Amino acid sequence: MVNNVDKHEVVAITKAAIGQSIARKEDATILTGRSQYIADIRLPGMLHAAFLRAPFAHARILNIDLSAAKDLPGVELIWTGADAARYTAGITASLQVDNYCATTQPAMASDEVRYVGETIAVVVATSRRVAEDALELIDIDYDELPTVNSIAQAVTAENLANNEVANNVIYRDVRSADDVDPTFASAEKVVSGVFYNNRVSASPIETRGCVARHEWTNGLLTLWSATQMPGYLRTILAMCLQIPEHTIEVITPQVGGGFGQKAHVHPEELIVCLLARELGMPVSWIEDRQENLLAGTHAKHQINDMALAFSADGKMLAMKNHASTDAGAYNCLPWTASVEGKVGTSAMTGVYKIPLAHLESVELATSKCPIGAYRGVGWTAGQIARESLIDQAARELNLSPFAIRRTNVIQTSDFPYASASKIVIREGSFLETIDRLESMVDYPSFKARQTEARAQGRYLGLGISVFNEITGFGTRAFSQIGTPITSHDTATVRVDPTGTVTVTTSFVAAGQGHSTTFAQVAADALGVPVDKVVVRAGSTANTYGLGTFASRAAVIGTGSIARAAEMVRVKIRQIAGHMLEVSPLDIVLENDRVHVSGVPDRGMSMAEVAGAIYFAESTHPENFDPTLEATATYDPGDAILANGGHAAIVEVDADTGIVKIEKFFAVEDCGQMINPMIVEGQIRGGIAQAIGSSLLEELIHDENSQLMTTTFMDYLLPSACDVPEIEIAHLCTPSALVPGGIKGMGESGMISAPAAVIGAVNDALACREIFLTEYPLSPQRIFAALNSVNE
Amino acid sequence: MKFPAFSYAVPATVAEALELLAADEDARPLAGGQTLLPILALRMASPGCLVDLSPLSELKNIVFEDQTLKIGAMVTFAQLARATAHQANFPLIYLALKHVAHVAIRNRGTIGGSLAYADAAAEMPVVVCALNAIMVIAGVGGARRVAAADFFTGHFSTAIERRELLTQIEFPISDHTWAFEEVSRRPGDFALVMAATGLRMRDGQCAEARIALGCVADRPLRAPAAEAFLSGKQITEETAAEAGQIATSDLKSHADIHASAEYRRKVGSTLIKRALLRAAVEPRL
Repeated sequence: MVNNVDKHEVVAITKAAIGQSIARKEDATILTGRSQYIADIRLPGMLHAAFLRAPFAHARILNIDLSAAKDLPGVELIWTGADAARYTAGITASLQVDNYCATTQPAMASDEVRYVGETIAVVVATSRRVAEDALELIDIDYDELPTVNSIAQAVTAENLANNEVANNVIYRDVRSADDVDPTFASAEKVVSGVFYNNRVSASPIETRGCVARHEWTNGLLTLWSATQMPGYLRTILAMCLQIPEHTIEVITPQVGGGFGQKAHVHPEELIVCLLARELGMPVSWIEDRQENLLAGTHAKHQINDMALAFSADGKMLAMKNHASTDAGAYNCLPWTASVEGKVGTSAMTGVYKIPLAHLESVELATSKCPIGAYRGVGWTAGQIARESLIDQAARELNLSPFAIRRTNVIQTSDFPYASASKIVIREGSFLETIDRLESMVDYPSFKARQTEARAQGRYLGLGISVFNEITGFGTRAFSQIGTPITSHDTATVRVDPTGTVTVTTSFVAAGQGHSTTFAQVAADALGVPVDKVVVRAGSTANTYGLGTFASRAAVIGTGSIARAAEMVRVKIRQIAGHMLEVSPLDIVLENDRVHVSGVPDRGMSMAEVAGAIYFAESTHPENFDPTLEATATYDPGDAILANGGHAAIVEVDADTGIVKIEKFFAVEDCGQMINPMIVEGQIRGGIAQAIGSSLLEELIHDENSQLMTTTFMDYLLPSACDVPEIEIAHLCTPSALVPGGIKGMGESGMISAPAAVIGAVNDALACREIFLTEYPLSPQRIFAALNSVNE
Repeated sequence: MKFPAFSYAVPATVAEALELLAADEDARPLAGGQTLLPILALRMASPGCLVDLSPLSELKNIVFEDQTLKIGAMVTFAQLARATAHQANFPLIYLALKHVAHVAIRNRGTIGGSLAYADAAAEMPVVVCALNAIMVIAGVGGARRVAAADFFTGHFSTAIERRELLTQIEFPISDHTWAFEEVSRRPGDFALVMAATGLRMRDGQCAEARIALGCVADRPLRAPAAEAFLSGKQITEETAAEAGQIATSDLKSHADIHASAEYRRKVGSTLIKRALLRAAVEPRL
């Protein structure tokens, strides 16, 4: 019997569907265009909102003239920041650690705008077109203020991006404070670099958007929102809008990609709810692409100033890193600006035995859109810096990139290993990852090809990146990375009267395939076929939870389902034992039957047992509580660490600076896979984004923090043409820390694959003594580096 | 990103379209809409009336006669790509087409629309310059013929006057061998730089060279000095590189967020070299 008191424990499940690449249940709906996204919602009388957004990065609002806009036929209501401020103070975001500088972003700016794209006014009209017409008629006088355009400018504190943030410093953290200077002074090899990571946008194909309906008769507020966190959003709406939480339902239909950008509470969501209440009519806001690039949160804009000390034989001795984040004008909710530098620093030493580390981070306020979560969050930039420097050291010490990593990697015998970046590592297959990558790449034959190409004036390069990733973020893992958050996600499992299974979960999906993977786990937990399980998510009318982010669903979603299923299973065994006159402990559930262990004929179908519980009191044992429904949470007892590695082979055209990726390799160890096909989909998607962020994507601001890349013609996402063949290998080291051995893996591609791309380009150009540290590696940057060396 | 309000007219003939344009200063012709419609959605333009040319079947013909390929302005890139009968005589058009955007855009985008819009980073302007095409421009008073060299007057600017329509592009046949080189950030994107070269070889020596460069200036450029330099020469690594140098040495290119002026100049030179070497080994017809 399971101990159902301990949220960290789940009983073991016999695997049948788990581990099978069964086809995704959701695909028929998605692929035939029948999925309902926010923009597909049509409610009777629904009105349409459009926001007026700041044209300047920092300015005082002197006067707003709405008269012409209000006169436009079809305009129902126009609000400015002052109107919104009557109902909400906006979004206050902070981290529960000492000396963290909280910020409050008004729901709409009323006195001062602090980034281009911040909302100033909103028009509600009979159509989005009319609303946009009205925006053009609003006349605003601004007094422009000095902007803080970069990390360097923020540091000087000559101007402030946000007067709530003294000296532009949102948070300064020293994660590891070892005295590394003597080691660096005496080390035989020191490599260092300042790595400028690019500001990017998660750019989900479905932009943000929401529809709100307020029913005055009963006070019920319904918000349909493309969010990864419906439960959390509901709570924040209650708090920020002073609306009783029980009167709010947040519904999330199909989400068209989230990648972290939709794991925030956005000011627009507050406004749309207030407008629906004010007007007594449903109000829809569907963000356009320009708004999304301007204001949908930005990500990954860090500078990492890193040095690594090595012995002559390539042993790592110490690391120094200072991470600075260009955080924008406000903290996002709930992650805050710390989602980049501070969180990134927690993984800075990665899978390596680095005895000493000095690791600092600072989040700086700038006149830009707030930084937010994007797949891989703050880890990506640090991974690039560290793996690039390891490669550089290997070149200078004449070691292979595989050998130098093997020399330094944490081995199974070292577990538990307390890393210098203060993560306790209890699991991982780092050495096997490196070995497998080396054999996939066929390193000797690559070296031969590289040499041959060089003789022909061609530049081939190999980049590798080895990582581990905290997944299934629960309370303990949040605590280890220094962002105290309590995990509280739940699932409800019900066996229906006819023996089918209905699961509700707080984990909404944005394409990850939860309807399939969760069903596989529930099916095995109750011994029924997968097609007898339905998974419902996407409404706060169901169970409550924090949300889908941080590679959590595979671990916490399935853990909570398994724990709830076990409670139901106890009931089934209890009644079946009674009916079959054996101990409940001798009852097993498998193949859609409930029978005596070892005697499959002595039993009955799941439908018969369920029917008995619901409809036949005479079959019940004494004092039997005839429910076949249970709700449970699950919170992993430790940080669950998945791991793996990536390798990329590229050819650089030295005349044009164009990088062609010839082939990509991925090794992933996420323990017990629920559905290998879905795991591979996550890997491929993550690598595609990694190629985008390392070669193509860059949010470029001018010297007044004006965003220049406001369409997909200038903000360059990777297309299918840019993604090469990807060869995937699986290692399978089930986690001993999670019942079932399942680890998360959704972010690995964006944590580690960018470093492989960048490493490959640097390897290709190393013979020209080029080491590129500003990203993305655009043809222009590569060309400039090659030509400055030439001249 | 919704269109501003505009009126919409559907002419039945070119003459009717010209009348509609003449009647309304604020009217704009709508071809495939692959540029104009996004611009409207971004509210960077708000014409009073769109004159939709899509029903005008007289502008959708592809005809080879009198040693000339005549392509109607409303021929889509996809239609042109499917007209493979002309590929042997006009290889450059088809080499360049491979770089024009993606399937969805090629299905709607038209050759006339692209030329009339005259984006310096588009492929077709380079092609018409390299092939010495004639642009047929219709007005209420009749048609006039403008050489490609005189057609482009700047970025987004051509010899087409208000109240006129580009109706046809005429490509005289040439017996050059052709090559087209382009650098773009992603396949299908607008170019950072592009080069088209044609060679007519006699006894291993260049009898006539054509060199056109795109996206290095506000309009496509021919490189007469480099063309002259190659006359009578063998095409080798050295002569091709020198032709590239000559073509780009005085170039005052522009910078944008994707490429510096220096990038465009030097890569332009490289692409000319590559295109010449490739054209030199293309089989003669």
